[in-house]
Amino acid sequence: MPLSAARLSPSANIATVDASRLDFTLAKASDAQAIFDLVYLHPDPFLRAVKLEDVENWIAHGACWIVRDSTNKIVGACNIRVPETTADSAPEPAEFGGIFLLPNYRERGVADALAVLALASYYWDNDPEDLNPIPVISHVHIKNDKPLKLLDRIGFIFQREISVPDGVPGFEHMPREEDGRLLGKEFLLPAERRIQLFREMAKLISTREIGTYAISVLPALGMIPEELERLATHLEMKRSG
Amino acid sequence: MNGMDRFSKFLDKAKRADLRDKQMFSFVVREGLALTGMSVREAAELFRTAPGTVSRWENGYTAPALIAREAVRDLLVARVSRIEASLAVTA
Repeated sequence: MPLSAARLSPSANIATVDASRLDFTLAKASDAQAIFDLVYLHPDPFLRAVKLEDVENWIAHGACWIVRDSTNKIVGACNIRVPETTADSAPEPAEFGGIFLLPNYRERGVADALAVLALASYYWDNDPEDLNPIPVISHVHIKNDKPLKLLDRIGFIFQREISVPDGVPGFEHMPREEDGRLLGKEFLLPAERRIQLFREMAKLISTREIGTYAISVLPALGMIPEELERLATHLEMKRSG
Repeated sequence: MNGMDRFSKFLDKAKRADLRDKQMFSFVVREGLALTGMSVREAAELFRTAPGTVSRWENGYTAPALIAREAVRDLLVARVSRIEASLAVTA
């Protein structure tokens, strides 16, 4: 079929519209298998080996944000682990687990949007007006350069080198140093980065688009653009003065 | 305090609560979860957040944006009210 005919075909038009629609939301327990399939579609030597039950734990014990296409298929996921706490144990930092995205959706702003949604929602829910909120960190294998560009774009900064203790499951296959140590880099998201995150989140909710995609977003409870902008301005003023 | 009193006191206090006070919000979450019997995980799904975040709220370590505190309070008040009403019918 010539291209012009395809453009005029009603079914082709529907397909075009469908392909440009994405829905961002929080994963539920029933999404675990689809997320597991997405994560392990492309084997990565630097990816921690996990089982389906580990992905179920991401959802049960963390905040796993996902993006679906118009057929309801999960095409992207982003996990933030927030360790549970008790009255006697001070909260630990949250951990940004990276972005998993089907190849067709890469380099189109979808990964950045998922990161903004996950991180802005985390900070919205955890002392958004506080100058020193409980931070978000991220860990990367020392030789893994692939996620560095994304981490840099989001605003993470290198903090320190870490050594993974022996015996932690899921790391057995990863490249090690000559002396047998497994090294990684720890990155930290500075608190002032929330100013941009809240503004970018407000833009996502209000414009409902990323590049050529029309999007719908079900963000953190109560999140609205006006309040995000007020928080960003508030943090800006607190920082400067 | 009998069971019904605890429900009524929670509803009265939660509705009038100054949620700018983080510890007051913590009380609302802690008592609301206890009265509804919701687990941290179930609450996290209802409040669209991580269970770890709910545990931070109920222990008073963090609180969400004020607008979200009100939404959390309203959801808990609605659930507790329904349970209180059903208990009143069966009493």
